[in-house]
Amino acid sequence: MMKKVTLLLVCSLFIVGCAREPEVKDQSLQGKNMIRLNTDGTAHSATMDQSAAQQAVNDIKQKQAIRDAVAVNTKNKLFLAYQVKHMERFHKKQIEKEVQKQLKERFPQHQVVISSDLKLFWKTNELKKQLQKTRMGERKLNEEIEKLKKLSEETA
Amino acid sequence: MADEKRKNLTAVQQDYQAFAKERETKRPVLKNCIRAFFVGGLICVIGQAVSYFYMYFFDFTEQTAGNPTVATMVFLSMILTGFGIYDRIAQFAGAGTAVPVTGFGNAVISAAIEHRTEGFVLGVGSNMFKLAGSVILFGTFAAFVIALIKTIAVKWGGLG
Repeated sequence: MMKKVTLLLVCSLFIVGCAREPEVKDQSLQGKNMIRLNTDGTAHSATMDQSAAQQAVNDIKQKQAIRDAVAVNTKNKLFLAYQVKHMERFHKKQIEKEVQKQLKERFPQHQVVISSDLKLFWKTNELKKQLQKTRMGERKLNEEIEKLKKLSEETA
Repeated sequence: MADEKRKNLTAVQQDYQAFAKERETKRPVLKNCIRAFFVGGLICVIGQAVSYFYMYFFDFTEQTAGNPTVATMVFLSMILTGFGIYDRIAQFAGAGTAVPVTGFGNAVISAAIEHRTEGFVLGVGSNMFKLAGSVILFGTFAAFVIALIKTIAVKWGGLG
C-alpha cells in the first residue's frame, strides 16, 4: 500500500513536471530544443526589421561563455535574452556587464535590455516566433518588450 | 573533554570502555554518506522540476520561482510526513532528507503529531516548533550576521 502511494506520488510529480502542450512542444523541458534553437535566433518579419536583433544575437553568440541567445527589437528598443554555459554561471555578473557594454557600444541608438534568465529566454523566443507568424505593429511589439523588461526586473 | 573524563575513571572502568568499544557496531559512515548524497540529490531534482514547472506555466522567472518552489517542497514533505512515508525515506537516507528544506516541513509536522495527545493548544501549539524553532532562530541570526559582514565588506572593504 505504502509503496503504491509513494510510486503514485513520484510518478505524478514527474508527469506534471514534464507535461507539454502541442503548440509549445518544441520548448519541452526534456528536449534539447528548449536550450538550443535551430533557427538563427531572430525573426524575419515583413513588418518589423529585425536586423539589429539578428546582429546582436550573432555578436553575442561569438562569446565563449554564451550557450545561446535570442533577441527582438523595435526602432529604438532591443531586448536580448541569453543562456550562460553551466560552469560559467559563476561569472554571471561579469558576463552580464560585458554583454551590456558590448551591445551598448554596438547599438547606441537603441535602448538595450538584456537578461540571462531562462524564463525570459523562453518568452523572447515565443515572441520572436509570434513575430514570424503574425504581423505585429511597432506599438504592440514595444509593449511586449516593455513587459519582458518588467519581468526581468522582478526580484521577489 | 572526553579525554579528561576518561582520565578520572578507574582502571576497571577504562577496561570496560575498551571492551565495549571493540564490540560496538561500527557506523557505516561512507554508506550513509552515499545514501544521503543520492536521496538528497533526488529531492533537489524534484525541487528543480517544481521550479521549472512554475517558470513554464506561470509568470515566474528563475529568480522569483524560488519562493513558490520552497513552499511547495515544504508542503509536499509535510503531507508525506503525515502519511508516514517521509519517515521511512529518512530512515534510509538520514541527512539527505534532513538537510534540504523538506526536512524543515518534516520537523514541524512530526513534532505536531508527536504531541497531539496533549491537546491542541498546549500540545500541538506549543510543541510544533520544538525542533523547527531552532532552525528559524539560528537561520535568522546567521542571515543577520552574514548581512552584517557583507555590509561591512562592501562599505569599508570596497568589495562588491
